[in-house]
Amino acid sequence: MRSPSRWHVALTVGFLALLSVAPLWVDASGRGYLVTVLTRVVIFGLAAMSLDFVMGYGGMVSLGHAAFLGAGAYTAGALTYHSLDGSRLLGIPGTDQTLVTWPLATVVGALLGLVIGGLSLRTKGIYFIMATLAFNQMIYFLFNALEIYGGDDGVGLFAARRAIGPLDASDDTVFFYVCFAVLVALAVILNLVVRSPFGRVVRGCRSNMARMAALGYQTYRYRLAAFALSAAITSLAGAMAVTESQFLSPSFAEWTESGELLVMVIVGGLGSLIGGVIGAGALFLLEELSIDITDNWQFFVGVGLLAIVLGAPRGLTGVLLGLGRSHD
Amino acid sequence: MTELSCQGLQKAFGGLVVTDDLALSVESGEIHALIGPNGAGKTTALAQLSGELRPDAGTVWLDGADITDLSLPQRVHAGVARSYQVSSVFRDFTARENVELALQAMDRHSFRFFRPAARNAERVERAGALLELVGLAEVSIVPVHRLSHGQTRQLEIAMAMASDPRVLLLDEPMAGMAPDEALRLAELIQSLAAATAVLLVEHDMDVVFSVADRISVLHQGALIASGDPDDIRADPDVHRLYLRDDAEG
Repeated sequence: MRSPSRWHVALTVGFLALLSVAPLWVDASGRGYLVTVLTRVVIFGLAAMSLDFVMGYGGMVSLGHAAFLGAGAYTAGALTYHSLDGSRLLGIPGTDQTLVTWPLATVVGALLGLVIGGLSLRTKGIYFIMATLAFNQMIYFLFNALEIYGGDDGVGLFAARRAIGPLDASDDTVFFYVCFAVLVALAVILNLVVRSPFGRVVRGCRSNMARMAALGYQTYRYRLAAFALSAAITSLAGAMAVTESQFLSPSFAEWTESGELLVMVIVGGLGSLIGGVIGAGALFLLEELSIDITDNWQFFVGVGLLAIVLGAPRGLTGVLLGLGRSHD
Repeated sequence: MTELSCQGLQKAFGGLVVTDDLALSVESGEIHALIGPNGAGKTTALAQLSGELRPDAGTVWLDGADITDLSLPQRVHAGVARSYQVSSVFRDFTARENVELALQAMDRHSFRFFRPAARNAERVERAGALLELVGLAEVSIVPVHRLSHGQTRQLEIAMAMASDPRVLLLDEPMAGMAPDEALRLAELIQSLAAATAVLLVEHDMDVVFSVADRISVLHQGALIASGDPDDIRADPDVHRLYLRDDAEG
């Protein structure tokens, strides 16, 4: 891992600054409806950033992160659902208060991450990928079987408020800034973590796991902690996503969603954290731009992905950093 | 005083016996060399002493305590460190970061999430001292993938020394080194013996006979001779099975 450079910090701050003024810009240009797209960039960018943490720094390629996205969505979504119809969930009343549902989703994600990671990390390489995928499928079909929340059709939560403390963030722009604040906070935290002693151990495990053990590290517990941290953040993003869309369905946990997060990380730049957000931005922007021209916008995603894998293996972040500094 | 010892060590892969009733000891202050032809089971023996491989039978002691059931990381904390035949370092990290990571392993745990690792002044200083010891002070902030082969081997030793071990297991530290580099490394290993006992697996016989206090010879997993360098040089079995082949090869 190349040591964190000033350019990397500048890029992170710069891109977040750009994102912070983006709603003003789309408003001014008369396309206010795009604010919801920006909100999704923030939310899925957050999930991709947390995936990058385990993948780009920890060397754990997970094809199961949609399970955590789904776990967060179902935690927050179910509580909201029960608050709407006044029923109880396991004897607990529902709530649409995100100050409750989001932290709870984070905790649920961490616990699920400990279980899935705890078992998957006993395997290596391609088997780890397959194990995470297998868990993803199990979780997906579990949500499909929840008839109370509409089974595979899902259920609308359109009457729900987006309550954030005393604030009703039903206004899309207000909600964007709430999500943006969460993203910034976690970007700061994750950037501190990767430079911390813990982060150094996680990066060391990616670089040379056998050697880490020979130095005296119990590698399993550090990798598991990193995996659970990532799962917790992805689950939080899932809760944010269901609050945003106000529609709860198993599609959050579909394994193709795991693949999409993977694409965001690779397009944005593996091992950079901000790359996940940049990748999410690029993907949603490409979708928005090409959807008027063709229904087959995913074709262009494919072309773009190929171009990056072949031409810029460090993704858009690598390209931007390359412009910033001469050569490493 | 005996630092590390083993008795009755036995290991087979399928039908192939690679360690056969092995008994060894490493005394404090000594450099004990383990030699033998290719396939004699030297690296396998080392792996059982370090904890990477579990023996089928036998016992390993460190300073009188039975450590047979301890894992590799646990044995490092107990005082056994090792280096590898094929350099095993963190190629994306700088030399100093490699040593810092090795030092950090001696903390009770590394669940410290927020303070930048690079700001631990005491650790940075100790890493600098270890790099100085192995002669890498001037390349401390160079990424390891840019170091020469010889420098990488020196770095390995600095990392192994980071745990302040009682016993240092070195697996062919001179492999692939230019003669002058090997000479300097031999001097370094000799200087380490004051701080730690050394078990040295090495093919370079010039080095072995110049630095070792004691030599043990493995053949097909079993010990065929053990003694000081002069005894070993004079031993007819060792000559027949190993030394002469080596000289001709």
